[in-house]
Amino acid sequence: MKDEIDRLTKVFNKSLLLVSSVESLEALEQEYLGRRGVINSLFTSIKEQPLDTKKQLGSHINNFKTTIEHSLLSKKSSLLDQKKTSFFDVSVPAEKLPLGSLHIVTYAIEEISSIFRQLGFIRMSYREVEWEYFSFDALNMPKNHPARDDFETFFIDEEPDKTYGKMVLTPHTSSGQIREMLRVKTPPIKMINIGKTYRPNWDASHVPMFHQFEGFCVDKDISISHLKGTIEYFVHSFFGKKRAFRLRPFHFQFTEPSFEIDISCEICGGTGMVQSAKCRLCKAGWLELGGAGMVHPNVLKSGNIDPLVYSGWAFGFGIERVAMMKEGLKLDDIRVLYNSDIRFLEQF
Amino acid sequence: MNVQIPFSFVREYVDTDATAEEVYKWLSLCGPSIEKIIKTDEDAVFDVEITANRIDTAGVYGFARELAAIVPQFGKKALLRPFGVSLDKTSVNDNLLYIEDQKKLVNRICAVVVDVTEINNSAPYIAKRLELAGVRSINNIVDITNYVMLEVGHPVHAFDYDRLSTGKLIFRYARKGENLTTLEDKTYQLCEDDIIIDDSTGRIVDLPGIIGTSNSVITKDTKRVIFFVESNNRYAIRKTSMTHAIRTLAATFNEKGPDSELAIIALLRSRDLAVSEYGAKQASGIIDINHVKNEQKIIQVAHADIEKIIGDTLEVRSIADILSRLGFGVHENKGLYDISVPTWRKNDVEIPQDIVEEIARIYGYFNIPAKVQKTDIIEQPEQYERMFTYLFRIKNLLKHVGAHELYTYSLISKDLMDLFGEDSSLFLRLNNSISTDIEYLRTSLIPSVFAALYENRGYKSNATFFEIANVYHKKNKSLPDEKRMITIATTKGFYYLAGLIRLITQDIHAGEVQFIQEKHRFFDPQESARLEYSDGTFLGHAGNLSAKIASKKSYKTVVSVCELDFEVLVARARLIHSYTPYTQYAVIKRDITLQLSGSTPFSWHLSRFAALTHLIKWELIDMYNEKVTVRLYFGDLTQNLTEKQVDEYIKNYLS
Repeated sequence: MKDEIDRLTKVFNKSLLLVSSVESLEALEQEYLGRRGVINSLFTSIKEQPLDTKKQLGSHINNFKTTIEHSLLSKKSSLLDQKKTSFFDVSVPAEKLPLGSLHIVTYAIEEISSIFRQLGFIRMSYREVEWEYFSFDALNMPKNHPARDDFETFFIDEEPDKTYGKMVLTPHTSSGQIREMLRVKTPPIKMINIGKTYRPNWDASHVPMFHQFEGFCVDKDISISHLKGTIEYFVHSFFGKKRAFRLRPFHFQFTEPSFEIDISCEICGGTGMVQSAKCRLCKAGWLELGGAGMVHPNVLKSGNIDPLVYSGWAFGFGIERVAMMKEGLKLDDIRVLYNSDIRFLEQF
Repeated sequence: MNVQIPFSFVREYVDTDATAEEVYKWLSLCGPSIEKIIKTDEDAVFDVEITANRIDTAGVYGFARELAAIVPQFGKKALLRPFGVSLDKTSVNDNLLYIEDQKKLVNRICAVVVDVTEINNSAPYIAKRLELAGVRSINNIVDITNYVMLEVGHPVHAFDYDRLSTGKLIFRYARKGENLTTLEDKTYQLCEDDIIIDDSTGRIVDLPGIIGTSNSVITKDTKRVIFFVESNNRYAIRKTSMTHAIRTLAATFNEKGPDSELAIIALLRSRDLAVSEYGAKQASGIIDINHVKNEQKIIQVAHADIEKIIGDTLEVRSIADILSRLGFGVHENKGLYDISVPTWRKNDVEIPQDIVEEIARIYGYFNIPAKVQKTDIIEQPEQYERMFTYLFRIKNLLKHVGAHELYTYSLISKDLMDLFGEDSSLFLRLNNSISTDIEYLRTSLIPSVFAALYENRGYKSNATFFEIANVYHKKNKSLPDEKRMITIATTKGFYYLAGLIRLITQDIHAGEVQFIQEKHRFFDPQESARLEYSDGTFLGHAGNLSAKIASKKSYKTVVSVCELDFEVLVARARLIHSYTPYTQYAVIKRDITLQLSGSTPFSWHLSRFAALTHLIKWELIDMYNEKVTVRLYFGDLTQNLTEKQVDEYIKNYLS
């Protein structure tokens, strides 16, 4: 046996010298260590031997096997090292994998929804084509009220409804307040209504179709401090903890008290000045975010909710506006958001 | 509406040590919104935005009142001085002036006749203050009317008494065909609901509350003046002013309904100025025709309710102070306030919430703590929850395979509709659109998405766009159906598009979609499919845009486009698919070539695969014209299959 192993060792070493590729190495490995290989046939040949002899011979064969394994391993190692001497430049540009884009409004909507979800608000989506009743009358803006003609509205060329008035493209998501109250019936109501809104203005700072998100919260004992708390949470989550906000007196028909909400300007840090020159972005350190207020009792009544038992707050912000303020995106012309130019879209 | 108010003018009525900067900051936080300060050499002018409900703050005195209410909250002094007019209304027996308003077209009429020595320049301080407020100085009498309007907050008019010739002023509606020439020498055709003043001969001598007429205004020869103040119906003023587009400062004041109590104050102040500055002499008695019955309005509010709405504790003393500084009468008893509303706030303060606003804004919104509300859990309706979850997921999926999301307008032009051969009677239409580009509410996203692809052909000839948005289907006598659709358009070919659709349905586990040959008005007849589920549920259409449509735009690129019902997709979606056990035994592969034809399309062959025993998977390897090569995988969960068995299966299948 020992002679046989010595002979085989010599043959193996000779074959190993001739190996010049990983493939032929693996063939050699198969020849000696494979199922029908040399080692296994050696073990087969000692099968009939008595136990003592088998043990002794077996350990010789095992030593041989170990030697072969080590030799193969180191040969493989050196072969692989050799491979690496061919030319390779890590700085060549990478393969271009597909990456499209989503619209900036989509990103804004996701972030806004997620912030309010943390406060337990549900996201809803209500009609774009509405009756006048839901967009105006039910919101404490009766027909012929001057506040109504300040609201520029698109009207649809269809028969008006006897009860609900003319068909319009809703100019604000506030119509969703009425719809939600009628759906939920009994407070608490905590909704974010995100939807498309339409106004007849089309110039460098206005587009005829845009997006708003309406926050609406009705329950027992809802107060101004709750509105402030919610706005604070939103402003800090969306714009960062360094941004301040303030409520100022304003007037809307559907809220009482009504507020205008401003946030501090990120360019001048709320000071209104950038290196002793007036900040070009904001008005004296503040930027308008949107309107808000405590829900007017007439609006609660339109939703069949008793204003003597429940109170609520509401706010409405433009999504494009809020998205642009966050990114510090100063678009000279807002129309670029909806002209479908790939050179704009693919940047997001 | 914006007014310019000089600080020096304000300081005539309020004694304060606040600086202009402080007034600017503090008032904007608590009251009138001061947009900016215009600095002049000796003065500071506030540019103030007046909201429709607070015309009482548009005049210097009303502004001063707000200042006096707000500044003390910040620790500085501000005491309001009373407005001095000699309320001497001694009736002089005379028949100089006769005024009639039988139909009660206005709320109140105050007038007086005054003799003037000369029409010439105004006193310098009056001219200066008018200039700072942005009003042109004309002459001493006309300037008084403008000055008093700015000061008191109520418009005033002046007639030349002699040019009237009758000494009579009659209020009536205009008649059909009548017209009027204003002091700007412009002539207007009047409507039957315009209110005018007639000198009793049928001659129109004023458009009250809006603008004077050229036949009755003050000239350099005027010797006898009628100062005339009427309190108008605000809705009538707005209607007339907007209809004829006569937007004077007086009209913008009057359409907001200034307090009728100011009418008599404005009149007396005008007379006083004429007398004290220019030596004029009162010639007639004071006429005051008042239709307004100012009943004392009392609003009752509980202290507890005030604290509840604000969300903070307040002292009774603070509340009473704030309200009385604003001119409200306050009586408190056992936690209940009886609050009397001053006449200049009667249109604006009507319910307890209005009172709370007055208290809260002066107290300072910045003083109110911020605390998020705690409520019970609200449940989102499941369909919305699913919709929004899958909406973002699908958008991301498409983004990560290289598609670009579009947001296009919900309305399209007639041109785009015609390009696609659409029937406009099926579309909802705007009757007051501002552009032909956005006239019809779309019933399909395909034209808009195609238009976007087309417009970008110069920058990106090879692209995939998608949009997920509503389309609007007309319904008889009710609001339209707003259906959310997903439309994908690509230049990469029909099979790539089908691949995207499959990718989506795979990712959301929405089941296998079948493509069935079916014509569609937008697509080429052969290259057009109806998509549906095996249970017959309709999903949408996919196809290559018809050459007819593309050729109208000379667009040679083949556009493959689909439109799917997004709600159907979402209804079938599942986050976690069920598990299919895989075999531990050997899997045998076989490639076969299938011949496709009109009567034996791929779907026909596919349906026959069901007959192949032990088939676990198939893959499309290659396609050339009508020949496709398909790789079949055979396996068994419980044992090894033999090559011979698989050969049998194939033989049976191919025969």
